[in-house]
Amino acid sequence: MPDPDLVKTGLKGLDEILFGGIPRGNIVLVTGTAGTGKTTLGVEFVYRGARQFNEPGVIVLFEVASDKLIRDAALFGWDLGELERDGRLKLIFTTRQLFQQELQQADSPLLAEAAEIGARRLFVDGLVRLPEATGGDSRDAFHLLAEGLHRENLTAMLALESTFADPAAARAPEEFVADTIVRLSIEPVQRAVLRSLEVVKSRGHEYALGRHSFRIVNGQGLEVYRRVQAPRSLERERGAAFDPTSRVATGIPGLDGLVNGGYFVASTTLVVGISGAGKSVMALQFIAEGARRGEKSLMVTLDEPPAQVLRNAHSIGIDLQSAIDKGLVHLWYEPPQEFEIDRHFAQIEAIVEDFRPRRAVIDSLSTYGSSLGAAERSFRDFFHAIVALMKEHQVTAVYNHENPEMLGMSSMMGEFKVSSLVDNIILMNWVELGDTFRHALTVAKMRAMPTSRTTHECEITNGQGMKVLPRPIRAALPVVPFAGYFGLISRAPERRSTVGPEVP
Amino acid sequence: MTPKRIGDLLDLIECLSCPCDLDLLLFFYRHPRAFLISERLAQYVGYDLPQVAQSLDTLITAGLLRRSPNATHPAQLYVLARGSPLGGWVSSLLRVAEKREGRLAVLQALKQRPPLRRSGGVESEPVAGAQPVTPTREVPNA
Repeated sequence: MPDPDLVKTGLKGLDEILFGGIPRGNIVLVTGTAGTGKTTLGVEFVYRGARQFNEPGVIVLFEVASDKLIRDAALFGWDLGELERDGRLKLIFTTRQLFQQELQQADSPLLAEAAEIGARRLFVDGLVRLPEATGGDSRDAFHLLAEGLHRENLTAMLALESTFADPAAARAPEEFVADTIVRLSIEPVQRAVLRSLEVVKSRGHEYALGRHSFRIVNGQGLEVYRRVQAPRSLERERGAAFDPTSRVATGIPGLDGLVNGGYFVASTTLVVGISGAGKSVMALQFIAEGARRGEKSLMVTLDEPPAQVLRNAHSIGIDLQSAIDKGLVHLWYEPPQEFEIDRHFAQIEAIVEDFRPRRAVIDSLSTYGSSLGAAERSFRDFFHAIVALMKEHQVTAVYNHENPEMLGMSSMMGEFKVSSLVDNIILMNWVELGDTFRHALTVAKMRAMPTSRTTHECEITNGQGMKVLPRPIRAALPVVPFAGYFGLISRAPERRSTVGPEVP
Repeated sequence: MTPKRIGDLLDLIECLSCPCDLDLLLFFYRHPRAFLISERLAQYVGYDLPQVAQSLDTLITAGLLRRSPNATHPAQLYVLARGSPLGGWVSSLLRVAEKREGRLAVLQALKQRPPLRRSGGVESEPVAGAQPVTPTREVPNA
């Protein structure tokens, strides 16, 4: 099948969702309630066409005055007046009835205006369901309109208003006639709102299904963020490294020995423990080790702003600022309030693709959980997507996760059901001995590598950081076989006082 | 802008003589390219159809407005001629008149002007005691 002639919208992120653009000549219906961004989307479609793709355009207005549209567009940095003066854009004010009538006339002055500048794109702002304007059958009336636009070979975007009181408008008869339907919506999330965009249908090409987030950004326009769950390239799925020889040093003295010399390249490691157990210290040492070896590292911090991270690093003898200045560390902070997960993921994706780190730390996973809802599918989908992203780019990633239990752990991940997605799990615990909480570390899971799962004592020293202490008594203790215990899987095994006669 | 300067601008533009002229011009300032039937245009500006037709002719004759050549078509395309010789003065006047107080000041100044001789139709009533203003050829500040 030949590749379709696709019209690039030029909107940031939208062409990716449309797999390259809209088939030329398609009638695109943009639906949504007031304030969802229909006008901005349509105006940007025409503006980008004229500005970036040398495709002149016409914007038809029924209610908004041209001078207001020009003023509002200027907020996004779009100089519509300049395009008009250059003959690349025409803004035409008319009525809905006239517009509908004119499209059915071959010698329409309105269409002649479009033809005069060689218009390839058209945006019609403020279409209402056609029976209101014509008193006729809505689907038939829209079909006539679409035929008129087809005749002119324009790629047309029509903003169709739907009302809050009329949810059925989402299934307007016009939708059956239109070639492409883009539905915009605003949904409340807690006390904030989230804008989303869905390509409901689009004839003649493939596109990414589902509701994607978008923002309207001053000085820029629309920024669409592909939903985090949407499958990316197949390369990403195939990206898991198969390199059984290379190891990535942890930067924690004594830990590499417990993990067979280091983590696998592109592996996913979860460090689990209560607040203060040393997770962030481990993360900083992992990053510092990368910098020492000249490897680039990305640190995503959600809980602590950069200044605080730099101070923490300094307190354990790490000059993180110097590594940042040398371009070896990218420290990226995003406060977790009003999280927009699609946008957040898109930003991480952009950093990974541009900065190309070899190591990454996410501090912390539990903050995503509290923002997205730990039990929600979106949290697991996000984690799955970020794991896949890191593997595709061969980034060895460490994720910190706060476990709320102060002493011991009844569950590694609590309600966060993602442990199956990770390769390695390191448990950080406090052990109360005498009047002191002491740090304990257990390597609980090492995918494709053996691990003893023994608990080791750690020490965090001011100015030096963390180290895993040696275990000199290990050799002195005899390893007792399972037969030396009863109640092994009851969570409370007891050692037999004496081993009885051997049972055949 | 002072009434004197508004009067000077009106003298330079010359063709504006009645409120409908001004309000039509203001309408096309906001909608520089409008495709409408004249009845709808009359509704938008709030004047009688004959008065609107007269003012349209005035603006077109003065080169401030262009109309699509197909006069038999029920709807006409009107395009504000920004590049006309009067464009700078018109823009200055409209920048004043787009605010309510400014529009009232321009309307007041129009009332005080002597009537223009028109080819026919509606003509503004002369305002008693109005003093003619000596035109100046400099471009006034907005």
